[in-house]
Amino acid sequence: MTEVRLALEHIGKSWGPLVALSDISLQVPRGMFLSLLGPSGCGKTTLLRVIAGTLAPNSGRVIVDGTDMTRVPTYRRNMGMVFQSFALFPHLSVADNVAFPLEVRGLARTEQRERVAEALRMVHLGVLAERYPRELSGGQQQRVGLARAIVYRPTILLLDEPLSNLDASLREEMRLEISQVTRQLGITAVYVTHDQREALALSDSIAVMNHGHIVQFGTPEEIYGSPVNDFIARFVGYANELPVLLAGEYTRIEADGTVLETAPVRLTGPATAFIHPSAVVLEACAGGGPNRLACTVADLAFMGDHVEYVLRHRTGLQLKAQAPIGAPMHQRGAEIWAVLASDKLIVVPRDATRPT
Amino acid sequence: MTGGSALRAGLVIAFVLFITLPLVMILLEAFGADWFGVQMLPAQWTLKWFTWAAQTVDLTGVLLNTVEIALLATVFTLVIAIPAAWAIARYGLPLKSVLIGAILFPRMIPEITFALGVARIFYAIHLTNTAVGIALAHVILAAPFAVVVLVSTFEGMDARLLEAGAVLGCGPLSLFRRVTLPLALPGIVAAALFSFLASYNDFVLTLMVYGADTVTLPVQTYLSLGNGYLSVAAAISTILLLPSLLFLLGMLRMVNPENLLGGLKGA
Repeated sequence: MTEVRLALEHIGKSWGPLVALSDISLQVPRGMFLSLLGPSGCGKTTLLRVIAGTLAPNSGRVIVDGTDMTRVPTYRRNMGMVFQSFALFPHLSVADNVAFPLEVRGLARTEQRERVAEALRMVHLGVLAERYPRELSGGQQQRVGLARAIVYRPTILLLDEPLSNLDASLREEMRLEISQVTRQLGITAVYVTHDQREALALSDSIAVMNHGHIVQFGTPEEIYGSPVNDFIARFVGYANELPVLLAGEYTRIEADGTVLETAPVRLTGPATAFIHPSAVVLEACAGGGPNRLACTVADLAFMGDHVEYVLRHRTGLQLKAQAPIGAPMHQRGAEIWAVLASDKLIVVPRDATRPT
Repeated sequence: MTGGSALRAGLVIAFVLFITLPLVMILLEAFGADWFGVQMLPAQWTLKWFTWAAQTVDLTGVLLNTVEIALLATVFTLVIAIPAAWAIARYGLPLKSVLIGAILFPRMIPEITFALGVARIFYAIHLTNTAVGIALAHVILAAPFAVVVLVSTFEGMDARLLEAGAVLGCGPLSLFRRVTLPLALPGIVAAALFSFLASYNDFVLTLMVYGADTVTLPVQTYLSLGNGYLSVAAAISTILLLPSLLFLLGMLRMVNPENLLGGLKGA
């Protein structure tokens, strides 16, 4: 049984009629990297602020290492935090920014210096110690932010969309930096993001949130491989959705009743079928087998390592497909068959969480 | 030179003269010997008016009075204005604009009107002819500027930096000392300078509540003038001018003047 570092119990937060968090409970074992993933307004940043203590919940408890911290003020919680806006102190040099939490804790100067040097080395910024934040690039500033957040060995590292203010080219580099530093320290981390790729790449576990609820909690493989409803499927990048009707063991496309063969579905009520563009196979001539939809090529784009097609079914349904380089090319307007592999076709219920 | 640029140059010259000519006249009066304004420039230069001023007036005492009162007024103003501005800027106070209006109100009415009222109160509670009393009266003049500059400073402060400070381990006091104060320093310095000058330069309010022990430079300038010594008055007012000029130079070096104007825009 792994030791639970952070436990949230029935956290609720609302502003008047606006419910930001609704009965959130989860447990984070020591050393786990957890992501809170969701669209803007889903409550993920609110939840992070409740953990940090900069926002008090209306109900529920925040428990760290078995101690109830709900009423403990932020500055006594020993949390580390990396901010979307970097939040470096403009009046302090890089070294003094990193030394700040040590200075506040009254550490001896010599030890401060050692720890600051070590932290800056860890984020590969040793040479910039005497510079001021305004003299650094965004990527460098965020490394300073990371060094400042780990230098005092906080109980939990909180990261609030740390890559969102960086250029796309820097994001991957910084993501790897975060991954390496957190694994190296074995630190427990809670990472807030709206980008499913970041969450999938970094996390041990992901809590996908919507309208103040946790919709699904699981490993990246579980979230991506078995989304529990249409919201999750859409959010993790299933670009093709087909509204379907369920009748006994059959799944039919809602528009024209075409029967789809899928893995066994145990569902009732409205449902949606999803398939990833890379799982849609294009064939030029009619053949046998299930799940073949006659489509027209509406558009195509050469992407270097693959070709992206936009297909239109006669019902108006639009499908995206990715074909590998080397597969026969189809021109705009060509009549082709889209084959949806039945084991790649997932059928999920509609998301029941609504704004409350 | 085109007509447009000639017009522009003319306007700039007119503007500069408009501001500097009165000062130039005072300097000529203070340093000129036997100059009655008939010739363009005095025939001779002299320091005798300054010597006269020193002989007829307790210049050191007057200067010390003025500085003491200005420093007191600065401290009083900051003590009041910093918390007030913080509350206005950081807490969602209801009636915020009414509050700012009330703080600015004393600057909108004639100073003499206000001064009469202040004098009535000060005579009643024996605050006339005291440095503390005059400094308190000056707070009325200084606080509106100080509050407006500080509200703008505090409003412009990044709340996320304060949050970062708290997460990193700063309690309320430590946060104020290590984060809030350093970030607000330029605004506080500007507010202090404005307050000091508002008090140092004030004439009307001081005139109504000063006494024998609390003569300030502006009042002394007026008294010397009343005695008929125009050149002595000019010499004293030249001394009076110095801190303003020094502060102006210092301020332009230290603080971006646009930040100060930004403070006034915020009202």
